[in-house]
Amino acid sequence: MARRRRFNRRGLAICAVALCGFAATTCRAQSTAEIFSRLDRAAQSFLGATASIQVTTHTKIIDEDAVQVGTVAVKRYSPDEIEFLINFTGRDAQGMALRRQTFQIYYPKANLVREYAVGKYRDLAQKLILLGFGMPGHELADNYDVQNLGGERVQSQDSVHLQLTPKTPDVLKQLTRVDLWISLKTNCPIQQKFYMPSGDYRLATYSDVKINPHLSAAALDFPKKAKRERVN
Amino acid sequence: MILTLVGISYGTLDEAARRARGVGADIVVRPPGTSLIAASSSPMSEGLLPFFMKQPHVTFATGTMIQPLGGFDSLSGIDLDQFNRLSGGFRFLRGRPFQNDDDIIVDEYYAKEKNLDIGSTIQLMNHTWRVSGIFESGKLARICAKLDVLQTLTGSSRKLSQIYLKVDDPPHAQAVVNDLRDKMPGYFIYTMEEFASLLTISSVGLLRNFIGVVIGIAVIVGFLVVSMAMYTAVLERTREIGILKALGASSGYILNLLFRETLLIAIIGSVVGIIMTYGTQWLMMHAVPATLTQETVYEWWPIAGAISVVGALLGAILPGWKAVKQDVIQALSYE
Repeated sequence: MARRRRFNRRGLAICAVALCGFAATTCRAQSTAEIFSRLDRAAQSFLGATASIQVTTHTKIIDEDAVQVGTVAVKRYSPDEIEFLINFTGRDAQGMALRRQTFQIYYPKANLVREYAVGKYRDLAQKLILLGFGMPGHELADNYDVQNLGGERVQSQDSVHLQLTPKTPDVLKQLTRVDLWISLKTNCPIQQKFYMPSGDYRLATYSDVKINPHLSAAALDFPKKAKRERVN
Repeated sequence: MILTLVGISYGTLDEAARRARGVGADIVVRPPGTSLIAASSSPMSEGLLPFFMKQPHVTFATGTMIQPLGGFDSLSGIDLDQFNRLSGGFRFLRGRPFQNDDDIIVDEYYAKEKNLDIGSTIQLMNHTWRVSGIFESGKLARICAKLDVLQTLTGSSRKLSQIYLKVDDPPHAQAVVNDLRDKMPGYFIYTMEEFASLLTISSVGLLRNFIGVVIGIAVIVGFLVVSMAMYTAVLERTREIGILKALGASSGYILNLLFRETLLIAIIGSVVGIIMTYGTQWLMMHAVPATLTQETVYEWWPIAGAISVVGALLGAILPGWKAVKQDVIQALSYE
C-alpha cells in the first residue's frame, strides 16, 4: 500500500514536471508572438519618448568600461521618420542627433554642431540606435532572428529579454548579437546590449522613460547659438 | 579631362600613402566598423596602448585622434613627444612645436594654401588656433594639434582614432598583425605597407567608379563633339565630295579620308590634352597645394589617347555614312 502511494507520488511529480515543462514551452512560444503583437500595437500609438540614458562601452581585450550618462529624446513624425537627440553630460559632454538625412554631433566645449550627411546609413542608424523605440514587432522579426529568453526584472521593472541576431550579413559582420530588454509597462527598451565581433559591447540603459510626452522643437535641437558646420 | 582627374585621384591617394608611411610605424590599428553605433570618429580607448606595448615584438605604441574638417582636410591630435619617438620628429621649416594648448603645427602646403605664417591664427572646429610651426610635408597629416586638447574639445577624453605600433624588427610586423587579428576580431589591423597598398585607385571603390563615370562622360562628349565637327565638315565639303565621287572615288576612299582626318584631330587633341595636364598640375600646385595633388600618370597616356581616338572615330561614323550616301548630282549642284 505504502509502495503504491510512493509510486503515485512519484508519478504525480513526474507528470507535474512534464506538464510544467510543456506549459513553459507553450508559454514561451506564445509570449514571443504576444510580444510582437504587443510591440505592433504600441508602435501604432508611439509618437515619442524621453528618458535618462547610461551607456557603458566595454573593451573586452583590456576589460575596460567607459560610462556616459545623459538624456535622450525621440520623436516620431511618421512610421519611417524618427528623429532623436542624445545629450551626454559630465566631463565628456557631447550630443548627437539624427535629423532627416543628417547626423549631428554637438561639442559643447567648442560650441559647435558638426553635421554629416548620412544618406543610405540613416535607416541603419535609426534602427540600431533606437532599436525597440516605436519599432513594430514584425519589423524586429524581419531584421533579426529573435529568441525570447523570458521575463527578467531590470531596474525594478518587469521586462522581456529578447536576443536578436541580425539577418543581414553586412550587419552581422559588425554586430554579432543584440540583447534587448523590453519593459512590459512602457513597451520600450529598458536596456540594449550590442555585441561586436571583437567581444566588445555597448550597453545602453534607459530609466525614467516617458512615452508620448509633449516635445517642443527645442527639445530635439542643440543650442541655437552653437555654430553649425557641414562636414561632408 | 580624363588625365587631370585620374592624376588628381592618383595624386591624392599617393600623398595620403606617403604621409602614412612617413609616420614611421610598422603597424596601424583602426577601430571596428561599428563606430556608427558609438557615433564617434575616435572610438578606441587609450587603455589599449599599454596592452599593445605588452605584445611580443612590439616596442612602441602611440595613438592619434582625427577630426574631419570637410573636403580632404582633417585635424590630427598627437602626443608630440610620443609621435617624435615613433617618427623621428617633424622637420620644422619655420617656427617650433606646440608651446601652448591652442597651438597647431601645419605642413608647408597647408600654410601656403591658407596663407599662414608663424603666429597666424585660424578657426578650426569653431576654435581659434595659433600656428606655432610649419613642417616639411610627408608625415601623418597636414594639420596637427595637441591630442589632449582635441580630446577635451570634442568630449572624447582618452579616446583615439588610430593606433600606430613599432616592432623590434620590421619582418616581424606580419606575425604581430596576425596575432592581433586573432585577439581582436573586427578591428582593422594592417602592416603599414598593407595599409598604404589599400590607398590605391583599385582599392577605393568610390574612386574607381568615379573614374569610370569620367571616362564614360569623356567618350560621350568626344563622340558628340567629333560627330558635330565632322558633320559640319561633310556639309561644308558637299561639293568637294561630289567632285571626288564624279572622278570615281569609291565610298571606301571617302570614308578613309574622313577617318584619317578624325584620327589626326584625335591624336592632336590627345597631345594637347597631355600638355594641358601640366598646366592644371601647375595651377593646383600654386592655388590649392594642400587640397588637391595632381600626379602625371604616364600609364594613362595611351589609355586616354585610345579613349579619345575611339570616341572620335565613333563620332565620325554618322557623318561618314552621310558623305558616302550623297548623290553625286545633288552634291555637285550644292551651293
